[in-house]
Amino acid sequence: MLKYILRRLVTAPLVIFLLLVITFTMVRVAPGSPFSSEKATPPEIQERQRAFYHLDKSIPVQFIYYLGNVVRGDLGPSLKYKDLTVNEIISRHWLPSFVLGTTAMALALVMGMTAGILAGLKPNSRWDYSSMTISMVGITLPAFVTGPLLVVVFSLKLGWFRVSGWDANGFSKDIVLPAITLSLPYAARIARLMRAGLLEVVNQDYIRTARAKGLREHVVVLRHALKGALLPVVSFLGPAVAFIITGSLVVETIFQVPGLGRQFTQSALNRDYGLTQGLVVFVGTLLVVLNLVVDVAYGFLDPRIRYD
Amino acid sequence: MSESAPVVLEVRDLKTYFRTDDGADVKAVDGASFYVRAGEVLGIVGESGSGKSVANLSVLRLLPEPPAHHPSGEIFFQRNPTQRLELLRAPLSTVRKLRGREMAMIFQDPMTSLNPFLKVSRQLTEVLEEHEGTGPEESRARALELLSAVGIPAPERRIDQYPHQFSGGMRQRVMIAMALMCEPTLLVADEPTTALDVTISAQILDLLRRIHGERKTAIVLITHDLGVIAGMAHRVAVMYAGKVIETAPVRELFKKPLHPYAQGLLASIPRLDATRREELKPIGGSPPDLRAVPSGCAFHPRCPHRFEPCDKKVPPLLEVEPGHYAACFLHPQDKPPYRGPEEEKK
Repeated sequence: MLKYILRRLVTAPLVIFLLLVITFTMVRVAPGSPFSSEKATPPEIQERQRAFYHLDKSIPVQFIYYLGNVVRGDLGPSLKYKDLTVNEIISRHWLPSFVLGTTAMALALVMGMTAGILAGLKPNSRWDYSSMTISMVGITLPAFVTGPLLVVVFSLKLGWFRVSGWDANGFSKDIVLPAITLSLPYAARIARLMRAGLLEVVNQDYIRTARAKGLREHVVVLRHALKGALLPVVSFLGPAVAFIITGSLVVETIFQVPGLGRQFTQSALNRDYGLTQGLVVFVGTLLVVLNLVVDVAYGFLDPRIRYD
Repeated sequence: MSESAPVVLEVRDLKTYFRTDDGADVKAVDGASFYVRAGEVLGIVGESGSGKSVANLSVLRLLPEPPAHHPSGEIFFQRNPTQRLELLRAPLSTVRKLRGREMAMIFQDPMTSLNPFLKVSRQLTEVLEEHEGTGPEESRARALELLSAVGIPAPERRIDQYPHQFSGGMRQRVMIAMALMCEPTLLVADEPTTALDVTISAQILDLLRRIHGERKTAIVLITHDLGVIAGMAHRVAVMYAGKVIETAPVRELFKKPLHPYAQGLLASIPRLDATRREELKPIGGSPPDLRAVPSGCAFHPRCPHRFEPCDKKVPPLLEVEPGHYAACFLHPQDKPPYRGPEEEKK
């Protein structure tokens, strides 16, 4: 097990390196530049700016400069925010995204697993149909529809929450609406995976054995069926957690949350090469780590999985 | 086996149908009757699809209802000398309390019948904890005792392993230990050796025979292998298309099978003393489609002796010879009909 984790950690930088090569090339191949704005800057100044950020060199040379910094843990300067480095931007904005993301994920787990288990236990029942219909709506409706809808009902009509805004401390009731909006599609996916997993497991011979032993139904479900049924949910959770805690552009924009999601999109639009690359490395690393966590969790759930 | 031992389980005219999506019924069990006395081994033989497994899953009410339903039938289970329960109409909660405690079941495929996610210890002890509220240490001691009783070497080490660390034969031993945790009065073994190698299957049968000898558990042994029946059962019921078509003490059946299907089954067993010229005689045709069972005697399209009434009337199960019942028009039809164990005693 330890050897397996070590081996995965050794290959992880390679994955991130490849990710870096691709983003690095793509942002530069895209038309436009970080210094193009409506007010045309004189060509001489543009030249000096480009030289300052090594943008006058060929792409491979630029990449080597950049890689050298990344290896030392420095994601370089932002090209748009004059006095800020990418590291500073990430450390300023990760917390709101993280708090919002973990809250939303916790909500999604509670709602999704409850709905999925109840639906999976009574397939084709009224409860099954209604919860699966709702989850289909949850998957289809984008956040820019559900978010404003919630705002209309709970902020404008009922006046329970602010329309938008984020308390600097992060922990206030401001979190309620964005967290719900963010959690809905995840809850819907979890519900469907949970239901499908349970349906598959419930037809296994060993569930019949558990019933033949005279166990009460909740013991059959919780002890005998749940572990196997959780496997698809767990494999979904790895990447899902990585994306949800690094922020969502739409939800953060609707509710004015100063998180990473907005930085991400803004950086791409601004051609802020440094920030885009930095954020990709950040999310990529998180994704690699969380996938490793999922693979290890698999081993705890299913004793037949061996790491060698 | 003494004729006067109390009847532990009696199944009367059981019908188990499965409703399909188009509203038609698949008649998996269509009027089967059989019984087991205390300490007796009843063998139930038949081809795949003859209803032998479904009939016994119905006894424990393990089939999902719907689609399974029972247009007729009664299942009597003698809990103790004074309490006799009818299981088919009893609330499921009552039946659940009997499962694993008073009637236990062993399944065909030990590879899939044990939960791969749980340790063997958990799967054994939970039976006692559920039914008798026994504490963890006592349950574990009992589990260890049973694991060594079913012939698992080094049970102290093996008990904390997962099923995938056991071989097929060892897993079936674990299944048997699990079934015995509460000392049930009735053990239903559904093809317990079918999924195993021949040598392993002989060991498992030996084990079942030994357990039966020591504990006097009543056993319903379901199999398609007449050899298994010959070595273990006291009485046999032969099933075809959801009905019991012949039932007799095991010697009677092997000596003189009365139903052409039973005759066919016996003729299709390879014999060591046969000369090379003698070929095996398979039964022609294939088992009927249970959605459209042939009219009259379900066996008539495959029967070498069929004659006038066979495709029109269903032959009743009659006592053709003392204690030997068969449902076939080849035999005199003026004999007394099958009436179950109570009548037999008088």
